[in-house]
Amino acid sequence: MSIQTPQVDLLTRLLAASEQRQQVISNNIANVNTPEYRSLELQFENALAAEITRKEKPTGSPAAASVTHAQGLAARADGNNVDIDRELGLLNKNAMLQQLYLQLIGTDMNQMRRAMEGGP
Amino acid sequence: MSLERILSGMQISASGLAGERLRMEVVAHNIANAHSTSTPGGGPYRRQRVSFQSAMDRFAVGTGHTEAPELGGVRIVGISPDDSPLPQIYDPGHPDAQADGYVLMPNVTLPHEMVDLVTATRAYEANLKSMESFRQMAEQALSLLRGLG
Repeated sequence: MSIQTPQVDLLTRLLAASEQRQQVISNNIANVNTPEYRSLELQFENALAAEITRKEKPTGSPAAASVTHAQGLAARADGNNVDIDRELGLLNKNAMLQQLYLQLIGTDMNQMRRAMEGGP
Repeated sequence: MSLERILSGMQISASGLAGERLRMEVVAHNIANAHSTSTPGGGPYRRQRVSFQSAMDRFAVGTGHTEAPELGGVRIVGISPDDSPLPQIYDPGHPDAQADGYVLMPNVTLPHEMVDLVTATRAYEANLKSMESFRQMAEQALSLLRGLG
């Protein structure tokens, strides 16, 4: 029996993606006054969902996160299309999701520890 | 998940903070010199402005698989003078007055500078917020280890 359950593996990948997304959002915020800068975003959840729904899991390659330009944002006069309110909202959402993943991992680890201790 | 990555994320925010602070300093410098009619280089003071560039030259977007994207935050290109025309006022008694009695004044406009100051302050706050968020994330990740101790 493996110590690392599939759930923890999945959560770790989501956690890594949320940390990467935090960097992408921070980069957008740092460049809020850079002319011609175009907003970036991280795509991961859709690729992960596709991987999970795929039945032939062992043969398929694991889903990878990719950074793309955000679509459908209005550019300002200087060619920059960073919407600071949108980015701050995404920042908060991402931080909360990351907290959720960490709590789930923590719960899983506590369960494992309890099983090892053999307590009531 | 590594601490190194969290710290590199903080560097992105730090670059934004440094850039916005420089902008605020330049605005303060402009306002302080709004009436400086002579400079060591000759002529009245010219408004200064900061130009930014995103520091992500090595980062190819949309290639699909990106293992370690180079998100470098923002880079300060430099401070350059504003070459817009200088306003003139008629003041023959002024020590820097020209032969016709007109004095060349700095091309600093206060409303312009105040708007710059407010946008720089807001952007600074946003960068601070994302840095705070990084700190919380690192703290929470470390608290997992504390729970296992």
